[in-house]
Amino acid sequence: MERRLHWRRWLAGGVRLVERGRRTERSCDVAPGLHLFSNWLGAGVFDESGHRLGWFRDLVTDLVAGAQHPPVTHVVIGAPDGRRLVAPFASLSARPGTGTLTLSGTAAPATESVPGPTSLLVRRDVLDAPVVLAVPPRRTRVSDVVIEVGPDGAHVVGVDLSTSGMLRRFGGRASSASAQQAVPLSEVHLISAHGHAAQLATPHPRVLTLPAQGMAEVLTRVPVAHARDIIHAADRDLREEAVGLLHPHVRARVTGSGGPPRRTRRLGGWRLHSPATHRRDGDRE
Amino acid sequence: MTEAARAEAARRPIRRSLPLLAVLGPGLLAGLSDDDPAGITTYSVLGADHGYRLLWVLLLSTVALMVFHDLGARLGVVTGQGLIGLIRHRYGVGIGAAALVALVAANLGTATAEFAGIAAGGELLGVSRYVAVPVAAVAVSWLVLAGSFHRVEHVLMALAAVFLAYLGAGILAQPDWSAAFTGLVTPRMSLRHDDTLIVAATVGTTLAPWGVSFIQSYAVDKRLTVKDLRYERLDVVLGAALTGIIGFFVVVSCAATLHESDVSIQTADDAAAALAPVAGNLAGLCLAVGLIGAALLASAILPLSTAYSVCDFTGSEAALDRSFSEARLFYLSNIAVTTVAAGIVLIPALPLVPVLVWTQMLNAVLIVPLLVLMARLSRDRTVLGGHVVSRPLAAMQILVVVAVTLCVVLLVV
Repeated sequence: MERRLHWRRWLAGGVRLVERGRRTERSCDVAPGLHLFSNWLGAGVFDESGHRLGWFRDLVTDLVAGAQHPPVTHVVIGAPDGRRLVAPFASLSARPGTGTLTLSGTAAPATESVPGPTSLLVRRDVLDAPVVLAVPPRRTRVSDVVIEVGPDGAHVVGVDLSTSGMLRRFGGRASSASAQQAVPLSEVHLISAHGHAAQLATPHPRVLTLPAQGMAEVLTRVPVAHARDIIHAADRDLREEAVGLLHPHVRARVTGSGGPPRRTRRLGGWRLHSPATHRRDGDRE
Repeated sequence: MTEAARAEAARRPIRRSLPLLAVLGPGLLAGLSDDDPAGITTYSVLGADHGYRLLWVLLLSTVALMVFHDLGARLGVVTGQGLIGLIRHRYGVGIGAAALVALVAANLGTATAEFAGIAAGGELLGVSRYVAVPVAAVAVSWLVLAGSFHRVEHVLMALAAVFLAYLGAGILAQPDWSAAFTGLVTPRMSLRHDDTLIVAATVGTTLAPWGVSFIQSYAVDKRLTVKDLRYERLDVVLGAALTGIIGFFVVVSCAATLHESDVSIQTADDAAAALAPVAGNLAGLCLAVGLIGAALLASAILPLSTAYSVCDFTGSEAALDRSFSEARLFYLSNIAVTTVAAGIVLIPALPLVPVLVWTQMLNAVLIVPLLVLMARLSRDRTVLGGHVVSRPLAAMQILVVVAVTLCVVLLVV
């Protein structure tokens, strides 16, 4: 009997934890100021006559329109029938006293082209996604996204990479955002497939303006296919310098040309040595 | 044909196989480590209590292993993320955390079972558990901490060669090969509790949560690319097939001896002890050596799998080629799991059986949601892009999930 009670307690605790993560109805506000994106996820969205349109699911941000703090252009709403609707973010407002949102105007069904090649879906491509920081060099995950709502619309201020940012999301209550905890989106390189492609498609992606050492650190930490894309897009001199700084094994892996014969090189391994841990070609004792 | 052309032609097959040799590892290690002491115990009981009759279950569970290990490797190679990290990214921090907590608890219990296997195997060979377990714990921790990715992989692969001992035990037991083949390809079972329980246990022990999470993280750490997927599939098939073959030899060695003599056993070390008088000392020794090797391999891989999952979730560096200062959480998680699991086994008078039973239950309960999430991810274009699985493979995954769910229900009820 006592054993059964233990089972129930564990089960109930587990269900509560999962429910908290998948909460579909949250209280939220889009008043001017700083906001955490995770607080908005799952909030109910209604039309002006009070009919439920669905739930807040994502935001579209345009990387070309603002390099440092990209503007939020659209909101993605998950309709009860499973469809995804897209509407301009500017048409969203808070419903006083209810903790939900009102959409003035109409929402169109999301198409395959949403988001565009230089736009991101914040939930899909950024939140909880792995990223690489060049300074200090490390790989981490996005705990939350800080968004600022102002008179001229909303902007992505940056991403929160702290562990406390992730733990805060388990609290269930809406938490406040601060600009200090945010690292600008342009300072991290996204590893999610679309995030990586969108960042590289912007006119001056940060990864291509890093010093050679910083680029080498990023190349060491991103997946091989991403590293090859970055090398392909980089300026020739910078590319050569950054590739020269890579550990020979990493260099062989990411360049796909030069060095020992291809098959021998594959057997050489996939070691992830840091750029700084080896002597560069041509260096003397 | 000139001499040079002939030499070139002779070298060609070797050159063609080099990429496969380079990719080999994730599938082999994840597959073979499934033949851990818990697995060997289940196969021994299957053979000793049911003879060759239920060998077909082993064949089906091997196919299920191939399907999901292949999927794990594909998810890792295409997304560059481990399973728990990918779950967090796609389904949110709540579900990711729930999966991580359950996986860490289940892995800790399973690692305890592996060290209990080392203790049992050591005692069969006359070595006290108070010597065998600490030595094994230090050895596997040192290997992961001090070795580079390739060093660790080579040592683990060499360790896996000890599984040949089971082939020796199977051959020495002189089984009835035609009856074994018939049992392998003829599905038949009664609905008695004994039969359903062993079927569920066999499927459950072959397809383990830590195995599917390990193969995905390890493929990421090995830095495999989409071009390597073709070879990686061969690695997975080879690993799963060897797992099935080893299981087959354990079952037939017990079926040919213990089942024929009507000897019932509870654990794998019982099987090794019981096999000696029936099939000769060498057969018993083979089973004991195989048990220690299997436990050592799994006790190295389980903490590694746990460390990968913890770092996948938090996003910290998780790579065997990183130094301790660069990947502190990774190495500390590894050492913590090894130390706690080995410590539990060394506590005098601690009832290990309830710990192991609870662990198996947790593994069984956890595997179903993990497989469901993996099956969903495998058809998700936002995750896999053009590498989503084909409809027939997706249908096969659903069949496996249904079969495993049924087995879990049978096991828990």
